[in-house]
Amino acid sequence: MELTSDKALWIYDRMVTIRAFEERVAKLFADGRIPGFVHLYAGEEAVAVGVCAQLNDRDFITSTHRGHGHCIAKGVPVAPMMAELFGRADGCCKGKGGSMHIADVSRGMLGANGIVGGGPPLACGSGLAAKRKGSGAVTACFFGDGAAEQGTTHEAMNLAAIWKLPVIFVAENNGFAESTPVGYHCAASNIADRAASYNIPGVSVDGYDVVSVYEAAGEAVARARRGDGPSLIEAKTWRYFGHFEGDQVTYRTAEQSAAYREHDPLTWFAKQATDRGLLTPKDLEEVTMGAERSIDEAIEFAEKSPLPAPEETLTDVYVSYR
Amino acid sequence: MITEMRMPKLGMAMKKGAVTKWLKVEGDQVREGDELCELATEKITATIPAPASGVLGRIVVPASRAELPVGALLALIGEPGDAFPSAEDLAPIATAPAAAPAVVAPPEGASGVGAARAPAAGGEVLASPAAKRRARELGIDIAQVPPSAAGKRVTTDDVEAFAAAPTTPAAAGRVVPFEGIRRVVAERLSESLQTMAQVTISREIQVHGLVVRRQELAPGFEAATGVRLTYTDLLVEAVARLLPEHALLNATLTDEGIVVAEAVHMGVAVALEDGLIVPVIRDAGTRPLGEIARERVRLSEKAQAGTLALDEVEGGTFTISNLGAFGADAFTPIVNPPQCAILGVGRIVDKPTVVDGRVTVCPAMWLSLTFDHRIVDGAPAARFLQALAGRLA
Amino acid sequence: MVVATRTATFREAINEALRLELARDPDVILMGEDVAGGATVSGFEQDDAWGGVLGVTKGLVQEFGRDRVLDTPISESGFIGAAVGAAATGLRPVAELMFVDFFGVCMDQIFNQGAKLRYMFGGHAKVPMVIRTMIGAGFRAAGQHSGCHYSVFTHMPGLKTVVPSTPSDAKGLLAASIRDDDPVIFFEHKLLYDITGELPEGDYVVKLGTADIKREGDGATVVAIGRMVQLSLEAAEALAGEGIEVEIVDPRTLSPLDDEAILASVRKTGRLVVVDEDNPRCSMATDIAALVTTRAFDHLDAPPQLVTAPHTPVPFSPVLEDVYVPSAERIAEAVRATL
Repeated sequence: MELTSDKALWIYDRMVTIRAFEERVAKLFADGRIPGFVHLYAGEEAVAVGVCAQLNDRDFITSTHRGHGHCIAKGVPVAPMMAELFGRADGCCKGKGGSMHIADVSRGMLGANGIVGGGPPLACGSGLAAKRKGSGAVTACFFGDGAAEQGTTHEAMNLAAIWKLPVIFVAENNGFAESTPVGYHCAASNIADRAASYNIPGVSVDGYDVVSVYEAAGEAVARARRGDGPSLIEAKTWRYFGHFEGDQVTYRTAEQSAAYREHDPLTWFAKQATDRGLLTPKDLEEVTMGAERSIDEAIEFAEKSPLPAPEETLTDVYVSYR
Repeated sequence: MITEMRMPKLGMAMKKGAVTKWLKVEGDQVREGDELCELATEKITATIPAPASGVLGRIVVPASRAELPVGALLALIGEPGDAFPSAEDLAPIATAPAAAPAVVAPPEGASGVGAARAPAAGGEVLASPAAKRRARELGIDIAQVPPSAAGKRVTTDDVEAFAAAPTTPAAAGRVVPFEGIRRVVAERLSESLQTMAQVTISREIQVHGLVVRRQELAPGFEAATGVRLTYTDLLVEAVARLLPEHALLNATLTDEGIVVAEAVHMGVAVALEDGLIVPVIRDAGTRPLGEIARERVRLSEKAQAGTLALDEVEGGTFTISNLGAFGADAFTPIVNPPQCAILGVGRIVDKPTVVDGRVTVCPAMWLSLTFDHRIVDGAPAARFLQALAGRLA
Repeated sequence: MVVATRTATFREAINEALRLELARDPDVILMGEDVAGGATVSGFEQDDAWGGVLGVTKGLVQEFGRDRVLDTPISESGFIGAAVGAAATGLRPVAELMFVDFFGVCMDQIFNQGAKLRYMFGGHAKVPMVIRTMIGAGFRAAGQHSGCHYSVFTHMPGLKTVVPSTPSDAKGLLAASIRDDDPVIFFEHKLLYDITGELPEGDYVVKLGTADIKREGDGATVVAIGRMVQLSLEAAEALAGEGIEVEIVDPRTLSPLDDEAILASVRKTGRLVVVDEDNPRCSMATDIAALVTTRAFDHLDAPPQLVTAPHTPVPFSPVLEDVYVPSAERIAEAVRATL
């Protein structure tokens, strides 16, 4: 599982794209150009990207309400994503899902989810289908420290364990369930410790180091593909923005935030990759410019996309009602 | 919650009724459907059921002859402890239509929404949506359709039955010579005189021809028809055959104008023990004498028995009142509304008369024709008498 | 076309539909608590211990194995959600929610995930799953094992709901539900499992969204759901003796509802009685009454009558439960009240 240059480039590109997307969305939202709610992933890029770097197009992921990062890491293009946030007809969900339900099933992205803990049972389902069909596909189930306490997460891990489903449970512990710190809401010292109660491997990694995440994910994916069942990876990370845009984030101190920004995952990996000769400074710059450009184009695409026709309110409820 | 009991509309033409007897007293517990009071109208009597269950809290209208309009408030039913207004408080509104009464709500926890029946208010018709639609389709005024039982909702079946009935009012009910008939007769006749401009022309005519005809026909008549031939039969026949040429006497005055009847439906006055009734021989103008006689006897018997149906006393276009048997000569009969004329017939008496310059004996009879001068003038009326005289001479 | 039939029970009919669909389509799997039973217990490797708590799925694990007939832990959110996820990624799962009263522990997976995925993803997903679940009182199973509550699911856009009343309807509707590409909740009344009827042999499908006239008449329209169809037929016999011929309309599918069948019957009879074993507020009874009063108002000769359970949980003591469940007498009374 040695990191190749190609992989490193891909990893850096995805992380930078996520960061650029989220920072731009924050501005658009503040300017009132995006309706509804957005929950931003900036700061957690290494987790989504580190895991998705071990997946292929046939694999699946389930996501959370903070799903833009998972989406981009799974390879969903940013233009239809942006159009979806704008509620336009060319959005990846035709404007009918929005930020919290952003999805692209054709690329194995089974949707951001507005229900905390809504994803894990679905991940068991895609694992069950893959096992039944012998497709060899695995499912990475992203969930937050908040969801770690939801009953569905426990049921899903137990079910995946007894049926040996090809699922990788990834707990993105960013320290807070909305405004409540994990030290308060979680009885376990580490979410990863819970793996023992299901008799599955559990490991805790630095969610700011994409390489650590990548390596842990590699083992979990291999185990799943072998048919040995699920694993739990806890990645300790930090979200730069509030729980949702508009959150005044009074529950964290400026010092805490500053400390994390000091060790930004993008900066960290850029240094790692260049130190190990995987990437050159030129690569880094090209990635950055390319990402910015793709976001510019995405916004332009979104703004040019038409609003959905009113009749669209009534379609897509059923494959066929009668 | 108080339920109002109001004067129901029992027949198409009913406008008023009188509560003649209460079958329960104030304070009695009643169940919906219990018979509560007796009602009398121009034509029929009926007992009226309670529209709701509860306590008969207030009788607003005591039993009396007083006639009240359809929709008048008669009584209040409610729960013990309800505040029932006194009859005095209610008096000003007792004859006025009230606002629609509240619907009894179904109790909490009962199965489902269920049926709630609102008793009809003064101007509102209690009819189902389907009945109203059917009435609209048939061009019928739903207010004219009687329900199948007093207080019940008019349904489509009721509307269909109403539409299928003959155009003369065929409301259920039989004519009962009731103690009120005297009053009814009094009212109708005085109304008749007040609304019409009635004039009576009298004439003594020679009825030799009439007498001879009867003598010739009488012997075989009973064998052939089952009834005896009377002068009234012959007069009905003669008048009915003649009226088409004197059509204005066979007419009625309506808002649309003078409506001349197409057929002659001859009313024949029948004296009863305690009153007067005028059954109608339908199509007297085209029916043979034997049928006229049989029909007159049939109707007369029913009149005496008190079993005439409403459609046997309505719809007449002309009336004959024969008081000859009682010894009358000329008199001033009163027109039977909404007809135009009535022919009073006196006794047949042998009288000396001059024929071809010689004194002889001839049967004679007085005819008294009262007519509504709004419709027809004296000359046409006199001409009718002249023509009739010629027929009977 | 003459179809061979045999006499069979409602239970057998459901079992047969499941067996035929499992055989026909390798993507169909069953999952639920004790749908086979005895998982990993020696001696039950290829057999079922229970075949479902009331034996409805007996014999299927023998034929199709434990890879197609999956016993689950008691984790409704987990396995109902897994059914949703599996359906969204290529399988056609038939999951069992043992008693409908348990919907509280998995409702999010049904309501926010299963029912809405297709719509929220702009039509780019489908969830071809069936949830079978037991309903109904009269079993003396008390407050948490006796409800109906199909109106709760009928209320949700994105779901379809089916309530059969006879063995042949059960077989045909279950086959249709499994072949349907949308999420279907299939309600089985526990007191119907032992009733018998004529069951068409072989492949038999009853199209969803089609009502059935179980009895023709022109005196009044009785719309009855599930087991209430049987009771309405009893009431109809009694009423026929009084010269009243009622028409019994069995909707069979509640969502989509065969509006036109109900309206056509009311246009003919002018009178509506709805018989629904569920609690009365926000029920199928009020839903159907509203349908008829809004779209057949001018054809009503009497207000609709609703015969339902009371607004209470289901009591345990048999004498009380027998008050709760509508009876043939109450149905007949309701019909008479419309006349």
